[in-house]
Amino acid sequence: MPYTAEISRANPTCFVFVVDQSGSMQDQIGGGEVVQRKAQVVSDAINRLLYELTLKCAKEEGVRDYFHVACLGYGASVGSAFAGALREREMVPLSEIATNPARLEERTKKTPDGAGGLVEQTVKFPVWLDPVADGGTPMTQALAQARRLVSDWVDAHPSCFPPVVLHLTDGESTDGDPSTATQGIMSLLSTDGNALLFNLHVSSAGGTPATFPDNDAALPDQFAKLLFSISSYLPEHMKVYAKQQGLATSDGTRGFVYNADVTSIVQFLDIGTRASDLR
Amino acid sequence: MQVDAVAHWGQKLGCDPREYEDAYSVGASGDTDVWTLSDTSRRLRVAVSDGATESMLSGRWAGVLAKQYTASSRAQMRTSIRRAQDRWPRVLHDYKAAREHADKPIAWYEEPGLDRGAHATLLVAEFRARAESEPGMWTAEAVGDSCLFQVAGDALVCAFPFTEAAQFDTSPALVQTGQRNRRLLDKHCRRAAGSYRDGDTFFLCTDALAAWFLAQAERKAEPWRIWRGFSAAAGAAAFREWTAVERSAGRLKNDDVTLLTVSMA
Repeated sequence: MPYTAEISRANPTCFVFVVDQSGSMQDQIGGGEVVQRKAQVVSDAINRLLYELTLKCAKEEGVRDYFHVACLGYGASVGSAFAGALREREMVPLSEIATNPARLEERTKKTPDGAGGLVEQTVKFPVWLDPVADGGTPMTQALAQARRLVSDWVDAHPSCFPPVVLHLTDGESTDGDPSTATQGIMSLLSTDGNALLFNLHVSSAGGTPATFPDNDAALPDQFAKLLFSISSYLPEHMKVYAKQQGLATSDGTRGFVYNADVTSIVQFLDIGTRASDLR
Repeated sequence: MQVDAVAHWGQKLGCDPREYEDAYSVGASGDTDVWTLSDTSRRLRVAVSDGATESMLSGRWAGVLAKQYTASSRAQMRTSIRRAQDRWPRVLHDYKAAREHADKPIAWYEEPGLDRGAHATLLVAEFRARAESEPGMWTAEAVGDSCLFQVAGDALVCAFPFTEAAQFDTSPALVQTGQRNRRLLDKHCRRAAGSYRDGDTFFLCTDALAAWFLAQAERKAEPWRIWRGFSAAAGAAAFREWTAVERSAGRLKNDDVTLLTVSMA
C-alpha cells in the first residue's frame, strides 16, 4: 500500500519548498485591516511550516532528522532561499534547520487563561526566510531544479516516504507552462509511491479561500485553475487527516490551497504517536 | 498462588536505548520477579505506559505514571494519575535544572513542547488472590492503546481495551501531565475485570506488540505460544531476536516494544 513507509532517522524523507520571489510578489492581498504583501504571506507560511515541522520532531536530545528540507526561491535568480547561516544551502537536515534560523523574533499570541479568557503570551518565532520580491517569474526553471533535488533524494533513499514539494506562488510564470516540470516531479517514485506536489496560490484576484478542494469551479482565474490541475491528489491517509480538520474530501481532492493556511500539511505526516489532547 | 512477572522491552530500530519511551512497573515487595499471592489480602499491581513520539519528556512521564500506580496498594488509576500530575512539576523542574547544570539550556524548539506537557498511554492491572481452590480476580483500566490479553490453556479469553488489529492508529487517547479534567479522563478510560486460575497467562504490552498479537490471533495463529517462550528472564535474547525478525518481515511495526508477562503458576 503506498504512502505507508515509516518516516524515521534511518528512513528519512524530504520536504522541498519552491517559493515565488518575483516582482509581482510585492503586490498586496487581503482587505480591511489585514493587508499583506504576497511575499510576506509566503515567507510567513514557510517559516510557520518549518516551525511546526521542527516542533513535531523535537525531543530531549535535540531535533530528530526525520526530514531534510530544501527551500528554493525564484525571481531575479533561482537558488536556495534560506537566509542567515543556511544561505546557499540546498538540502538541509531538520536538526540543522532548528539550530540555524536567521534570527529569533518575539511574537505575541493569545492563549486561554484557564478562566475562560485569553492572555497574551510572548513566544519565540524563528525566521529562516525573508520576504523577497524582485525580477521575473522563472517558475519552470525552479520546478525543474526541485525535480533534480527530489530525483537525487529518491535515488539515495529509494524506500522513503515519498518526498513532498510545496510550491508557493501568485501563479504567473514568465518562462512557460509549468505543467511539464510538475509532471516531472510527480513522476518520481520511491518504493512507497510518487512524490507529492502541493501548491499554495496567493492571489489578489479575490474569491473564496479554498483548502484542498476537489474541483476548480469556485476558483477565480486561469492561474488558480492551472495550479489546481497540477497538484497531486491527496493520498487516502491524508484525506483522513483533512477530514479530522473539518475539511470535506472526495476522490478528486487535490493538494491545492487558495489564499488560505497551508500549515496543516505538517499534520498529514506520521512520525509516530501524535500528542493528541483528550477531547 | 505463585505469580511470575517478567518484562521484556526494546527501543525502536534505529534508536538508542536511551530513547526508549515506554515504561512498565510491577508492584513488588522485594527485588524478585516472583511473588506469592497466598494471602487473600495481597494484590499484585502492574502497569505499562507508552510515551507519545510527538511529545517532550514522554518517556519520563510514562515512567512516572507506571510507577505511581504500582507504588500504591489501593489507589484507583484515576487517583494515581492525579498524584503523578502533582509530581510532574518537580520532575520538570529537576530536568530543567539538570540541563542548566550541564550548560545545555532549553532551546527555542523545546519550549513549546515543555509548556504543552507530556503525553502517554496507561494500562494498569491488579491481581487479587482468593481462598484456595477459588479463582483469583483481576481488574484492569486503560487510557489509550496499550493492551492486556488473558490466555487460558490455548484460548484467548480476554483482549482489552482493543479487540481488533484494525483499531490501532497514530492518535490513541493519552494521559497528559496537565489535563486534570476528570470528566474527560473518565470518558476515555476503559475498564475490565475477570477471574483467573492456575496456568493462566496475562500479557500486557504497548501498541506495536498488541497490534501484532491481535492480527495473529485473527488468523488463528495462536501468538501466545510464541510469547510464552519469552516468559523466563532468560528469554530476553529470544525476545530481541524475535522482534528483529518480525520487524524485518514487516509484520511488527517499528516502535518501542514492551511486553510484561504475568503467569499464574
